[in-house]
Amino acid sequence: MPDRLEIMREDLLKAGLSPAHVQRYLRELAEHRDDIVAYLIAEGVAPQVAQTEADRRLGSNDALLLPMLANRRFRSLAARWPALVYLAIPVCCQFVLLALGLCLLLLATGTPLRASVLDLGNGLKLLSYAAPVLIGMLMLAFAHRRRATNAWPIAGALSSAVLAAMVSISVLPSLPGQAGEISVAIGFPSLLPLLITGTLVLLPVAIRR
Amino acid sequence: MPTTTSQFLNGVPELLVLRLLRDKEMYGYELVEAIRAASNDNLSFAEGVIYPVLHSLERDGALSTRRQTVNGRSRVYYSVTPTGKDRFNDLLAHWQHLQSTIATIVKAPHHA
Repeated sequence: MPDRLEIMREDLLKAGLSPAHVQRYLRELAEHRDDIVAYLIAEGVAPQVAQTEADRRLGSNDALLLPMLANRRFRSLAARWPALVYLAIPVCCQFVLLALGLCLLLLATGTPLRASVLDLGNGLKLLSYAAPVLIGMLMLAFAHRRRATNAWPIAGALSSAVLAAMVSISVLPSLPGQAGEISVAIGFPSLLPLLITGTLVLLPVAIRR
Repeated sequence: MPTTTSQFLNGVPELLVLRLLRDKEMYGYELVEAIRAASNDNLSFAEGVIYPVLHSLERDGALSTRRQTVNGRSRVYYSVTPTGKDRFNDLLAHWQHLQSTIATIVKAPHHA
């Protein structure tokens, strides 16, 4: 039979408390219960009776859950602002990664890496498709750990996939007598990249079901 | 000072916790035992509910914590911060005001 504190873990997580806070609360309750048991056993009470008495003294599940659920300040950032955490932040991260990659690519043109700028550009293109997959999977895992519903993480993951399919990076290395070119265009999402990244991003959800 | 109706008696657990932790830092079980001893076992409550009170006070900056391993067991020790001391003084003043108000009502002659 599962421990009552483990059953409470699910309720606390579903209510939007952060896993770290839930872990700490349950650990403190478990330690408290152990202290009561140790005290009662030292007083000569039988271990089984001490365990039952410790559970009684600790309080009913409702008594232990309600103060945690009633205090909205205990709810995690992800529970209070899911759109921000699961949608806005991943998309912003993707923008930042892309901008950082472009900056590094531009900087590389002024170094001996200039000769490999085409390969670096291809690497950046790959990153622009891999980033939403990785970020999306991370967000889904993050949401699963918090027992959050999948709606916002899926919306965030799909937005990332759409963004990746909208961005087109082009690198033309410089040739003798001709300057090179690095360009980024944002347009209508390309269907094939959108399908591939979208499928990969949502794969963990499909597997879990 | 808490003055809203919803906080009529809400500050009592915080008041007790801050008063006892003002003297020395304690972990949860130790604190419950201290409340028991200080009240001569007159206050009975589900012992686990002390932790939401402690966590809430910690979030307000009224308590600070440190983790220490004692006899192979990890304990979270709570102690009162300067903010907690101010909070205690506010709660105490509120409680004394409430107590004197209730005493006045109880003692006053009432006519049907």
